[in-house]
Amino acid sequence: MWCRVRDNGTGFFRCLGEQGHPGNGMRKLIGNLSVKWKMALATSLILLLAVAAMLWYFPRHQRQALESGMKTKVTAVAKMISWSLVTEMDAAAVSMDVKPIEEVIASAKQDQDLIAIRVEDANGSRLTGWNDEEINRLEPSAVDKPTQVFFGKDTLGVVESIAKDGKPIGLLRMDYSLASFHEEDRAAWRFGFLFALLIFAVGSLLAALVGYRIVRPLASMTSTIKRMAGGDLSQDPLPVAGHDEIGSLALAFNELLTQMRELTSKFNIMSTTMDERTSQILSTAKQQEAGAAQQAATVSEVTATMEELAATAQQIAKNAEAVTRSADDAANAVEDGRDSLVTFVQSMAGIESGNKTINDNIVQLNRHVQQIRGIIDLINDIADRSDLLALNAALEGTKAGQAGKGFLLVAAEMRRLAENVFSSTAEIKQLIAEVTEATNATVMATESGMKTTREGADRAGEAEKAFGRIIATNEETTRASKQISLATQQQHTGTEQIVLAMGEVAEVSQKWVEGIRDTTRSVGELSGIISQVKALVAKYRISRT
Amino acid sequence: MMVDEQIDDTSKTPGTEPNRLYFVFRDGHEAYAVPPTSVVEVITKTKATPVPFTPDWLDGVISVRGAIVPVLDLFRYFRLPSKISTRRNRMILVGVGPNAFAIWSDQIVGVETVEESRMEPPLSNLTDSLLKCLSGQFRTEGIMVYCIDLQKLLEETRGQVKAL
Amino acid sequence: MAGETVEKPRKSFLILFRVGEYRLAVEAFSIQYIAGVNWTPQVGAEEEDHDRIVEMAAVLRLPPQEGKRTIVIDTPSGQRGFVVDSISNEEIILRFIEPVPPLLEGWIKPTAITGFLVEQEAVIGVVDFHRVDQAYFGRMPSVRPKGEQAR
Repeated sequence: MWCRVRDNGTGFFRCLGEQGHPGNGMRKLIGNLSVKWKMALATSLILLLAVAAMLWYFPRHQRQALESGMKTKVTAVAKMISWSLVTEMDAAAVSMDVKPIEEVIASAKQDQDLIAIRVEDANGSRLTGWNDEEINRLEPSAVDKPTQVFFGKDTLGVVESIAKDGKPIGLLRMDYSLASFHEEDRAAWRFGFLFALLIFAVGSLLAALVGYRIVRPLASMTSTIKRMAGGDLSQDPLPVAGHDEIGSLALAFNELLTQMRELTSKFNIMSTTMDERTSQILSTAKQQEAGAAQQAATVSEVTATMEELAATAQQIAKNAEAVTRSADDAANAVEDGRDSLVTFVQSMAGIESGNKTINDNIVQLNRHVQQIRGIIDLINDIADRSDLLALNAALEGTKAGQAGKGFLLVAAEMRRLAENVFSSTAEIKQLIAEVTEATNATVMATESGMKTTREGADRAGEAEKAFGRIIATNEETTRASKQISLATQQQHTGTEQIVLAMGEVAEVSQKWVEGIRDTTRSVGELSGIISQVKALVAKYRISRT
Repeated sequence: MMVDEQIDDTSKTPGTEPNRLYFVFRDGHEAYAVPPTSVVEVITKTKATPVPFTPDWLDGVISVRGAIVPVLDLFRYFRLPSKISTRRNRMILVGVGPNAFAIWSDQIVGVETVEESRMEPPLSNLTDSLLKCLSGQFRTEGIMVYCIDLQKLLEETRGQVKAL
Repeated sequence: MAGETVEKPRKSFLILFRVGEYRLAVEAFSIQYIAGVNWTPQVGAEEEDHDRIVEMAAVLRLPPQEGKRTIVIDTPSGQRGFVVDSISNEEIILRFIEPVPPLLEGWIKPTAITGFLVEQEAVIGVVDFHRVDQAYFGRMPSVRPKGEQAR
């Protein structure tokens, strides 16, 4: 049967036996005894056994010795007396004189242990005796056989045949007291007992001592270890007495204590350092996370703005293209207008030379004027659209900040050009009005009419110059709008690049944030472990404060 | 804007019968009076910049040393039946607590001491909005002067705008 | 992007424009772009154009004006264009915007003016078109086809 063992917190392992098993109570009892008592008990048992054996053997041996000694003595005396009595017996048989026999047995009476003696003749009748009423009635053995000795309770009975020439002539009976015998026996017993007791006592003491010598360091070690387990590492090391196993144990224990102290202090330092480090890392990670989050937010802001810019830039580029196309159309129209003007001048000249009728020329003239008006409207429209383009470009420029400064400059330039166009067209309108007036005044091919047509020709010349200016301005406008197209395209590419770069940055940022989150998580776990270790280590005091 | 006493009142005599001081100004056919302590200054301005999304009695805003001041047209606010003045050439800048605003005027009458006995009960033909802000009325130089409770006026304006 | 009420004077790029007698301004960053008078919004086929083009003259309760420019903003429900008379000088200026005094704020309804710009003797209100859009959405005075009589 095995015990179920459990440490109930006191450091002892208690045997929780099964219910109803006989002998478990005893086992429990024995189990709880201290080692020294166990040792003492074991030794005592052994000693007891030894003592018992001794007690059994020694007195017995002594008694046997005593017995045989007595037997020998008694036999010798009996034999001696019977020999002495041989001659006396004959005399006694003849003279009926027992006195010589009495003298013989008197010597036997010197032995104080003799309590009765009798001499009998061959028939068994009493010749003489002393104190022999109760004397033994042993059967004598044959002549050559040894003396009959019988150990009774209190007396020793002896019967010896008195033989002459091999023929029994009488019988000697003696009773010895066994009192002294018993006395000696008892003495032997007492002696043995005392000796045994002595051995027992000394043995037990020695055992206890040894046990104590073993147990004491163990007990102190136990209490020290208990205190250690409770957290007190500040105790003195155990005294090391001797190089035996106990000493080795004490040494080993002291080493352990030292090691534990070192370990604990290392732990403390380490955990404090790690605590600091982890909180540093955590705070840095938090900062970084915040920074990364901010950066991510900024990045998405920038990306959004960039995308907006890109979209609008595209729009502007389209508008710029449209303006360029219109400008080209205008250029063509202006060329046509110029041709018309040239024809007109020629017509005027024709009028002067009189090759054509004035009326025809006027009709033609009106047609030209209409054309010119149309062209001017177109140019105005272009100028208006350029104005709008310039304004929107400037608008985008304000939104784009630094990047849009170029826009602002170009926009300002375009606006200036547009203004030029407006003023030029205003001029032209004015000129046309005057021309119309002049030609309306021309009704007849008179000298005054000639003069007026000359005036008209002058005006036409001026109009031509104005047209030239318009064309030049138009070219500039075309160039400027092409520049804007280019700029917006460049900006578009640049924007695209920026958007891509932002995307990469956002990705990196995202990975970074994830990395920080992982780190934070790991650090959090580490922090948790460190807290546990700290709690464990906090139990142990190292210094005695 | 803090209320400064810019108009020095020399007709105040301590220890006399209870009478009130009024700063009196004209706006066309009407005349108004406000406590002199409310008047910050008199501004010579003829135009205010109109502000959209505002009631019709808010003529617009002006800039006074960098501060933006709304200009009230009391004539329009009180819905008075007479004709609006065409000679408006100045504004009375008033302060009521932390608020400041300007009132159109075409003539400053001056500061008057008005005894309790001069105060007349309000006439029945006055408009509702004027009655609500009237703290009294009196005559001077032949014209009826309406004493305006400026605090009440501001409270009423807020109510009006909410109802829009 | 919607405009933000001015809490203390701040610099901003502004575009000045006119609607009838009003001289107004709008912050450059709050609008998408400026178009001419024939602007068409980018909307789906189902939507009506006239819901998207708004006559500022009508909003401000003025008789119809000769609008030449459309200020286009981006709203959550799509583009919306506000027709104004003209863009002053066709340029963008950088100026300080002053906050609206609390007293005056209580008198502006809807609160579509977010600040004021003091330009010489004039005090020009800065309009937030997004707030105009929010205030009038659904009850928008729609554009009248050209040639119809005034209200």
